[in-house]
Amino acid sequence: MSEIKEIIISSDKIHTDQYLVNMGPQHPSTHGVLRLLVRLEGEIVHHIQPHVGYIHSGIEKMCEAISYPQVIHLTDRMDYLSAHMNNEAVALCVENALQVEVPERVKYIRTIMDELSRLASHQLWWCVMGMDLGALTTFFYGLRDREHILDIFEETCGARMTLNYSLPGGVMFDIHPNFQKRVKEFIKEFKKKLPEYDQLLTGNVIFQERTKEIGYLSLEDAIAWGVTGPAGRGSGFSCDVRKHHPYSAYPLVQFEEKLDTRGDTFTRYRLRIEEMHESMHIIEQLIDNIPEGDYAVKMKGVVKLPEGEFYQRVESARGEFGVYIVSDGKKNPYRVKFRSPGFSNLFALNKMASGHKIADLVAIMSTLDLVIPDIDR
Amino acid sequence: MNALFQYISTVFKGIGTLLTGMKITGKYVFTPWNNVTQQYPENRDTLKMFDRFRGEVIMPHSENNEHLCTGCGICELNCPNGSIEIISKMELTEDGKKKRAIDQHIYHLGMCTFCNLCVKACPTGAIVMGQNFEHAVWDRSKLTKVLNQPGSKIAQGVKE
Amino acid sequence: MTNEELQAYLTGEFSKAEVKLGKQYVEILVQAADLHETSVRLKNEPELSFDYLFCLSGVDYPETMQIVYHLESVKHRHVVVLKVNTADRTDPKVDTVSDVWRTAKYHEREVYDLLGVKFNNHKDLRRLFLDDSWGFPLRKDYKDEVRIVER
Repeated sequence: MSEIKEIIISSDKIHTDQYLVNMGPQHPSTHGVLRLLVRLEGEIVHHIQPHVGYIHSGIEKMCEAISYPQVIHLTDRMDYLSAHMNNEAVALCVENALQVEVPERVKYIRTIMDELSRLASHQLWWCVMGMDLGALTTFFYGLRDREHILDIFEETCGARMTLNYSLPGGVMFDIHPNFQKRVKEFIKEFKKKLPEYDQLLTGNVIFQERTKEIGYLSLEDAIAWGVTGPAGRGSGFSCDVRKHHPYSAYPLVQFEEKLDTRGDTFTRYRLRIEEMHESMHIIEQLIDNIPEGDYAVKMKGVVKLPEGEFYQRVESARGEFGVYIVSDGKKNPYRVKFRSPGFSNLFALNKMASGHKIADLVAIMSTLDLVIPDIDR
Repeated sequence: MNALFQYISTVFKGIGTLLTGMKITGKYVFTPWNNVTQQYPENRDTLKMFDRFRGEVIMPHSENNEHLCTGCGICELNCPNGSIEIISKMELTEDGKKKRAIDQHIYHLGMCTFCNLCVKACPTGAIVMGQNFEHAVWDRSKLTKVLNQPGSKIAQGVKE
Repeated sequence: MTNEELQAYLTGEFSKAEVKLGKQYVEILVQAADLHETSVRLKNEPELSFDYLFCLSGVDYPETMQIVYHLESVKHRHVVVLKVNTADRTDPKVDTVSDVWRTAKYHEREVYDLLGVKFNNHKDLRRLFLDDSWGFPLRKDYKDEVRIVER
């Protein structure tokens, strides 16, 4: 109650013409259980207070009771659309702590899987973004193409979304004999499909009218609020971990960090589409050159980290994902903290959407590409 | 006047871009073999999952009702959720020594997250991931399974 | 700056703090009273300009609560880890840095929610995920008979 009072009586003035609306927790465009307390005047949004925690699952607490290989399967359940990046972050963190050098083959496989996950995630984002703005057709087109990636995952990893594929020291299985053929087929096919995305949605005048010059985020705000990923890069914030702190096979490939300074919803949209092209470009460079070798190094039965603190940053589909492990030398971590990209991105929403119409709020929220378990953890 | 002209041109441009999009959808209306949809309940007989698909943990038995499980409990230790319980018993071998053997390999499907850690850790390869994915039951107690079949015993020559 | 240069620079600049080179990053441990001043200097000095706070975590050690700030400079691309120990473990208090890095506002609310660390001068210190009657689950002495099954 005090919180509502505080929102209404901000700046020592009682706003009688303003009212509060709860958007969510069960709103289709929040993509999960997220509640936004929106202060409105007519249709104009004045202030947004996000309320999170509806599906808080205490993953950080659970991690303190289980061993390092077991932590990885929990990270699948946080940001389920970039599950492999999350797995990889923990695996890399443990490998760095133990100073294990993984074979080249593992690095290549992990990077390809990363980029496939990024493609799948961006495809889902694209179709859901269209659906949020009332274009249901895009939903079917995005899911149709995503199905091919999920099939590739299922064939090699055994699961479609909760992959649990990267482990400390390597990957769970070697790649399936069909893997390279299928990935190449998919890339060839999707290169033809991606221009269709532009024709269906990007070029559409109605779509452009609803996204251009909406939800402006300045470079300074993006850094101050820690907005990363395509959302941050749309404001000119060069935050690609793959470029600045390369890991796995990223130092070996040529790719461009897409940056733009316009900072509106359409820019963030366009950058994600361009990132899909870049992802395919990265996969093409790697897929034919996967070196022969082991798919994992032999680790001890019980993985124990030396005492100390370890941090690993990776680029997930939504932005920078970080793992902070404090170890006391036992087989369980003393403390695990996950820096999730969605958490920081969400709270910049107030900055971006204030002053716009409530229908624009939906468009702005979909370019942030929120995944709620990623925020709540 | 200029504004009005711009407005009208935007309307026409909007119709134009709409038609561009509809051209794509129209193409797929007439080429339905491009779709990926499966007729799921109808194609159950022919539906084959990928061989690595993680549906449930099973313990394969040979035709003599023999399995490979020694009851060592490594899978139980590796399970993150406590969905495996091993109840072992002491058995007398032929030369009169006492030996640990599996009594019941209890598997709680309802708690399993299909992470594959138990299968990976098993030293004898006694448990594998099954392909079945239709797990819906009317009663939760049915999700607790005993993986070793009644009367089964360990195959010859399997050592811990 | 490389880690070694950064370490030498910080040792010269922050005499009251304890600077050491960790396994990955330079770590700087400050007293709770100096935290706000240090963070303002870390952000505003042009040679440092740590303007991007990418991780804020609280760790419950046996004697103290430690708050760990991972900072990066977008301009110079160097990383530093700022640490602060609270005086009291049961009722920890530390100054807020949400006026320095705005994203810290919600990260601090998360730390308050899960560890019970109070941030002085924080504008809006409420619980973030859990409701008010809940304990502080990430503390090591947190007990929950119903939901936590010890194995």
